[in-house]
Amino acid sequence: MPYNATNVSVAAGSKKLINDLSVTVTAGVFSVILGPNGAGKSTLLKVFSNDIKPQCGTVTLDGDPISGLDRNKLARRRAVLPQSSTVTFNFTAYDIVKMGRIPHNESDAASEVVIDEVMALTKTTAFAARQYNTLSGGERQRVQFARVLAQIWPDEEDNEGKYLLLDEPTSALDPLYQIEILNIAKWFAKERGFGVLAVLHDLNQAMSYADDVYLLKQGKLDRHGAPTDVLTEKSIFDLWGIHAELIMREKSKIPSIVPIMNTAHTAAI
Amino acid sequence: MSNTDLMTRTQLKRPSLVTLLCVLLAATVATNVMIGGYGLSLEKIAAIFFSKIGLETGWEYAPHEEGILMSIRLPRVVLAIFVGAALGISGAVLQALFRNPLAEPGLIGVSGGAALFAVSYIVLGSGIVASFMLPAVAFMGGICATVLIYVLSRNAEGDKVATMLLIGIAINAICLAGIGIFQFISDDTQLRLLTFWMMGGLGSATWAGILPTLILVTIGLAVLWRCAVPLNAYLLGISEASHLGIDTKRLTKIIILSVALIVGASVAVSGIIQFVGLIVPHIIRKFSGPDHRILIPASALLGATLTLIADLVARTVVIPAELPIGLVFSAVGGPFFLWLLLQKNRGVKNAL
Repeated sequence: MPYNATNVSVAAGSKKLINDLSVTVTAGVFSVILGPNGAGKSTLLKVFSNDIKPQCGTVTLDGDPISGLDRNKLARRRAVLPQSSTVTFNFTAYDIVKMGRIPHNESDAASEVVIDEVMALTKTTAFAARQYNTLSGGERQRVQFARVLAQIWPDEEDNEGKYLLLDEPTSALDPLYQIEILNIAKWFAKERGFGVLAVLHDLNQAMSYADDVYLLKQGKLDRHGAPTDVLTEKSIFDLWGIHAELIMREKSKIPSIVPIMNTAHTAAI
Repeated sequence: MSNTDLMTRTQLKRPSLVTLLCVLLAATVATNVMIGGYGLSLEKIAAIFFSKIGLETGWEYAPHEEGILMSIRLPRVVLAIFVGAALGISGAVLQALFRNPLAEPGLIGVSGGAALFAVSYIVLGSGIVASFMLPAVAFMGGICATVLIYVLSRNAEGDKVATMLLIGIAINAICLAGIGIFQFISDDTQLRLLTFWMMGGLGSATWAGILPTLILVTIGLAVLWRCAVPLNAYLLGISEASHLGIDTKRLTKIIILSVALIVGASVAVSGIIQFVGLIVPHIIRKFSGPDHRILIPASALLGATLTLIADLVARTVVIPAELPIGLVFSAVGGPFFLWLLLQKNRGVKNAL
C-alpha cells in the first residue's frame, strides 16, 4: 500500500506554491522530484512529511490521511533526512542516532541492537563516540541517515511499509559523499523495500538513481515517468532553459546530460 | 571503541555524577545550617532533629538554638535549594528551546518580566504582599516576557538566534526601566517594601512565606523533567523534532509556561538572581554531555548547591549586615560569561 498525495494544493497568500499535484511513493521505488527553483519541490516534500497541511487534497499512508495518524505511529513509518544539520550542543554521533528511537518508547537495550545495525549499514560505527559537531559534512550526513533509519527501523512483528523522504540530501556534500548517500538510499529501496522520495537538483543523479521522476514547473506537474522518458533535451530546455545534449554511456546504457556551451551568447555579452 | 563500550561508559558516568552532586548538596546544606551570625554545632543540630522525632540523644541545646535552626536557618536553606534548582533547570531548558547556549531567564527578560509585574503589584495593589498573590503575579510577568520573546524572534528574518537574544535583552531593559518608574512613583511605605523585596535575597524566608514558591516550583520542575527526551530532539532542530513524532507546538507551550511558573515563583521571593541559569547547565554539560535526562536533575542539584554557597557568602562576609545574593552571583557569573563568549569564538575559528 503506497504513500499518496492526491490533488494537493498549497498557497501562500494569493500565490500557489503547488497546484493540484498528485504524487505516489511506492515500496521499493526510488522516486525523485525535479524542477527549477521555485517549482514547489520542497513544499511538496513538506506536504508529504506533514510539516504543511495542504489547503486542498489529501496525503494518505495506506489509505489513512496522515493528518489524522498518531504522531509516533507516523514517525515510525516515515522519516525525513534534512539537507544538513548542526546540533546546538555536543552530542556524540551515537546519541544523535539514538534520538531516532524516540518514537519507539523502548528500553535502552532494545535501542542498542537497532543502533548498532543502522550504524554498521551507514558505515558510521567508527565515529560513534566522536562529537557530532567535529565530524565532516559527509560524516554528519551519514550519521543523520543512520538516525532516520533508526527511526523507521521495524520493531518485532512490524511488517508495515517504510518511507524515506530526502530533502536535497546531497546539496552540501562533496561529490564522493553525494554518491554514498544516494547509494545507501537506493540500496534500502532495492533490498529492504523502502519507498524513497527525494528532492534532487542534479539531473544526472536523477537519471542514474531514480526509478520514477516527477518534473514540476511553477507548482504544477509537468511530466511524470521513467527518467529516460521524462528527462529529454526538450523537457530540460522547457523547464530550465538549458540547451543540453544527451550522450548514451556505453557500459550502463544510462544517458548523461551535458549542457551545450553557448559561446555565441557569451560573446554577445 | 565499540558501541557497547560507549554505552557502558556513559551509563556508569551518569548516576555517579548525580550521586556526587547529591553528596555536594548535602555537605553544603550542613555547612549553611551550621554557619552564620550564631554558630550551631552538628551535635546540637542532630539533637534538635532527634528530639523532634522523640529521640533523646543526651546532647544539650538551648531553646533559642532550636528557634534559630527551625525558624531561620532551615526555611532559608530550603528556599535556596528550590530557587537554585528552579533557576538551574530554567537555564538548561531555555538553552534547548532557543537552541542557544547563552539563553538564561535573567538575561533574556523572563526574570525581568516577573519582577516588573511583582513590583507593579506591590505599588499599585493593596500594598499587602499576600503570600500567594505575589508569586502568581510574578508568574504572569514571566509568561508575558517569555511569550513576547518567542513570538517576536520567531518572525524575525536572518539570524534568529542573535535576534532572539537581542529581543530578550531589550525586553529585560524595558522591564528594568519599568521597575525604576514604579520605584519613582511609589510612596515611602511602598518604597521600603520594594527595596526590601528587591534586595531581599533569601533573607526574609519564613515557612509560611516560602510555601507557595515550594509548591509552584515542585510542579514546574516535575513537568520539565518529563520533557527531557523531547528536549534532546529539540537540539536537532524544531522540524526534525516534529518529524520524530513530537508535538512541538504543544511542547513549546508547556516549556514556556513551566519556565515562567518556576522563575516567577522564584523571583517573587528572592528578587532577580542572574547567572545561575547560565552557568550551571554549561558546567554539567562539560561532565555529562547535553542529554537532558541527566542535565535537568544535575542542573537542579548544582543550581541548589551554588545558590546555597552564594547565600552563605552573602550572609557571612559582612556580618551582621548582608550582601544581596544577586551581587555575589553577578560578581562570579560576569567573568564566567566572558570566558564562555571567548570559548565560543575559539570554537567558531576551529570550525572554519
